[in-house]
Amino acid sequence: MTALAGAAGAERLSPGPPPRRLARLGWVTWRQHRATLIGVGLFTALVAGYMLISGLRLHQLGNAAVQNGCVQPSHLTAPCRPILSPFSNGWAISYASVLNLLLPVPAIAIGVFLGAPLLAREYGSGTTRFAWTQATTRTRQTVAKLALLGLAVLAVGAVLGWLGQWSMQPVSALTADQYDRWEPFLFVATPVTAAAGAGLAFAAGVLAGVVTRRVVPAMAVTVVVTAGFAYLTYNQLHYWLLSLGQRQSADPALGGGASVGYAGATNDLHRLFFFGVGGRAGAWVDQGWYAGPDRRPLSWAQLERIWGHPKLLAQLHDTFQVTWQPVGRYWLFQSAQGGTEVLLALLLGALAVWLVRRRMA
Amino acid sequence: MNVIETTSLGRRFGRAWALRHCTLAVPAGQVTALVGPNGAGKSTLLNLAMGLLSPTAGEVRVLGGQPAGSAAALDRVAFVAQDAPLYRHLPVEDMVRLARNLNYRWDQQRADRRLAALDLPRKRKIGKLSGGQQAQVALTIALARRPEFLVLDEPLAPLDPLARHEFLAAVMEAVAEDGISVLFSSHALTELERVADYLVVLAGGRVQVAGEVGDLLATHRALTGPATEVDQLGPAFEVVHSQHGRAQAQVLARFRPPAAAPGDWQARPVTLEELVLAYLREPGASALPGPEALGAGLGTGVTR
Amino acid sequence: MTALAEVRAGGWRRPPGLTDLGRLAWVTWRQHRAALIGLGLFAAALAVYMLQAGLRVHNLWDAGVRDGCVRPVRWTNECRPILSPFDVGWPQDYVSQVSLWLPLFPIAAGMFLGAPLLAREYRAGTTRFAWTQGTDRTRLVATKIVLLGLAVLAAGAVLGVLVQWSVQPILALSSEHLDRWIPGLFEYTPVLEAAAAGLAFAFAVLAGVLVRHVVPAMAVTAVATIAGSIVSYQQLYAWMTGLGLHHSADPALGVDPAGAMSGNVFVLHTTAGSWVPGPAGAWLDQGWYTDAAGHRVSAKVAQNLPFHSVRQLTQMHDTFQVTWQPGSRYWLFQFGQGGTELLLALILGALAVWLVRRRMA
Repeated sequence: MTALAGAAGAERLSPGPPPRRLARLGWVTWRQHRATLIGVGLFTALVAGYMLISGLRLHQLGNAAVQNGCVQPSHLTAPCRPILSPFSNGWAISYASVLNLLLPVPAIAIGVFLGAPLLAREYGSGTTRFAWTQATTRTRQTVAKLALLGLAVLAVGAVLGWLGQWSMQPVSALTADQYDRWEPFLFVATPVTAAAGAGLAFAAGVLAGVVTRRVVPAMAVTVVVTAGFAYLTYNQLHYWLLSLGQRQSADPALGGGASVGYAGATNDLHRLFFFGVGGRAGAWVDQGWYAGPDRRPLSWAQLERIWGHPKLLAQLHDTFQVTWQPVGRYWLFQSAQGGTEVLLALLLGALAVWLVRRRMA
Repeated sequence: MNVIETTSLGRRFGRAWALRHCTLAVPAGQVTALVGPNGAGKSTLLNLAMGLLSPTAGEVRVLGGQPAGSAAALDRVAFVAQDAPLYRHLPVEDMVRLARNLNYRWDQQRADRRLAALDLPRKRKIGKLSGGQQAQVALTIALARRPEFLVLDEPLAPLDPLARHEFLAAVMEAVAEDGISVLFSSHALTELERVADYLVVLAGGRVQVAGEVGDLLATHRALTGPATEVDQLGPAFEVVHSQHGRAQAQVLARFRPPAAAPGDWQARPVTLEELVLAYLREPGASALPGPEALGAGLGTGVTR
Repeated sequence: MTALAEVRAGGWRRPPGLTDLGRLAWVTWRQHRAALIGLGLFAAALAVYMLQAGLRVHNLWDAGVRDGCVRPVRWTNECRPILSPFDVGWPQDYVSQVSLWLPLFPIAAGMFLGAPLLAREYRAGTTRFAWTQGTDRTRLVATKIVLLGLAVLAAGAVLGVLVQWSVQPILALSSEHLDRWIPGLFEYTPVLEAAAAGLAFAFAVLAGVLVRHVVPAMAVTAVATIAGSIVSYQQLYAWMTGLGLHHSADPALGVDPAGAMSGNVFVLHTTAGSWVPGPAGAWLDQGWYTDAAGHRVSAKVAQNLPFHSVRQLTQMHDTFQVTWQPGSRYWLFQFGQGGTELLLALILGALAVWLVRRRMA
């Protein structure tokens, strides 16, 4: 039997069913990036562990609060003090601040350490000259890699988001209006948005890697882009999103509040009122203003004249206008943000694959 | 003065000894070739000589007793490591300038002359040059340092035949100009014959052959004769390696001139390549200088 | 005289001298130019952000001074629009935003300048070039670390100055728990920002020497820096400010100790000022009630004591004791922490140099 005939009996992979191919590609993906996956996985596990432990403690306190009837924060009575004091100035608050800073980090780490070097390392070390000349086409390899890893990233992000949401529940419940789920910090700490954010960071990293073709510059670009995007989202995009399709109506009860902040000439309320005010409990109130008979906001000068006079102010309560989003729309906005980010991630991933196809080695 | 001197030099990585009981003394003013199979310890020996590694056993000194890697040694010894490591993101001229800034001895004119003669684009990044061009830049830098001793680790490996020729020509030109000593490891045995004055064969971490090329070639012969009479060659001819055919045997033997081969045998001079290959095929054989008998049958007391 | 004899006689040799530092500085700059420029751009972007924010904040402050709202703080109707942004909205938000961005500088300095410094040389094998030149490797590496370290320290100090300057008016006017002692703001001074950046840089260099691969060294640096800042923020800070506490009675604070309760002790962690009675400018650590005999009251009793007036407390023979740090010790702690971090940085850097000397090629 000649050598060539012997080759005919050799293993043939191609006509096999897709799941088997995917399994092989899955092994390739795992084995090639094992170290990174383990490293990123460990880090994420650490963060998750931190959230889990803190969450368990917080829920313990929360249950104790419910049992002792301490739920309304104004009830700082004696038995409630030790339960509630972590929430006024104690470790619960510092957990919230740490989480605020910590929550975007796993997503950025995924983008920088998993996404950026994924393809950049192949280009940088020249191993594309091996990988792109195997029987499995480069397109198929890249798509499989991105899909498998992308799904893993989404899953991890969802777990982290759920942990964040769950662990912050007692804090939101027991700190009046400080941490509400509409605020940028907590809005991102849900399974939907956290997963989408992680996926987007990953896709951005991969694209940066394909474009720059060198590992460290890709990482630098990814850090800047993901951090910049997170910043934009927190400060501008979030409020823009929530301003879409706002309703406007009068809310006398809010108008009487002294805990109203001012930004410039209009009264700017980025707050959520829990106490069933005006039947709009849980609604997101964007802006509020005192209106004159023509429904236009009163100028500051006009307001000044009346501010110190409760009776005149009472007359104005009826004309206090607010723009707001109904509470039911919360999940609509969650899906909107999550969906857009996932779509954007898919777009970036597709762009990366297209670039891989086009480029020489 | 010995340009490199090792005494029972050894280096261990984990459990394995990459180099062991290595004793050498190479006189200055020679071009020394270091040959051996892959994994024989050549790079280890050169790295030890440059102070990149520290010995696990024994010691190594250069340039007449300077400790390897000391400031005095590094000042006068130039090194081109395997695959000519240079900073790939720097353009040629910045790479040269960087080397100038890191050395106290520097001949900028020599560097400029060489780069001009090589027609190398000064502003192109090192990483974008071909393997041969990178090796030439590394050699330019080494020679611009005006060293007394030039050490090269497998410099010819990534080069095509023409590039090899040009590289060796540049080295020999520097030798002729400055009278420097050169030590380089290589697999290119045919080229070595043209340039090497001193030969060291390293196998399995030990020195197998060490001696001047002229001496070695003068004391070895390739013999052809009847296979049955191989045993009768001694003691004048010490068989290093024999290859048996059905009737004929090809033998490479060491002898002390002017001994003549027995009647049935035909002798001819060996090439360096044949000599090296014969020793590499016989790990037990060795040809070392020093107070050692030159062949078992010549009696004790015969020293070189 | 033959060429070799000429060489031996010392021809072609330039004498070592001060210009050596200039040459090594050029080598350092040219070899690490990309990372330095990238880090510099990042620091510049941070600086510009803080500069423009600071100018706006100071304009608001000047307006407040002009209108007589600021010294002393008067919450009249005229002053409300000027003062309330310092409580709610921007620039109050600025403080939390800058807390998000500023810690990124030390992380970036470590990851992108420190980690690849030596790791890349080991990985690419260029140590075989660099360690065999005429300049001793100890001198070369030490000079590089010192020069780059000084640059990082300087940049950190500049950023610290900008933070302090831009945040000053907010601290002065905010009625929230914002003061220079709180962990979130204590670290953002020239001394500590520089020290943190220097420490991160030195650690990263050491990580690079130990790990010898660029991306893993970057990952180790990122994790260590983040973990280090969390530990420093929560634990080390509490330990440090607990050293050498003063102890005295503070009956006025006993009326409403604004702190979390831990057993029979109130964890205060706030600065004495117009809203919190206590020794002028002091950082209040803990407080507790004592009975007539001077013993600490139990937790149960302590829970019921707040919200009584000073007279009532005196009648019950209960006084409130506090432990506190004098305000003047602020700089002692600043330099104490900064000095320790710098010392640690020097040790890590020296360790890195020693490891380089050890001749493992």
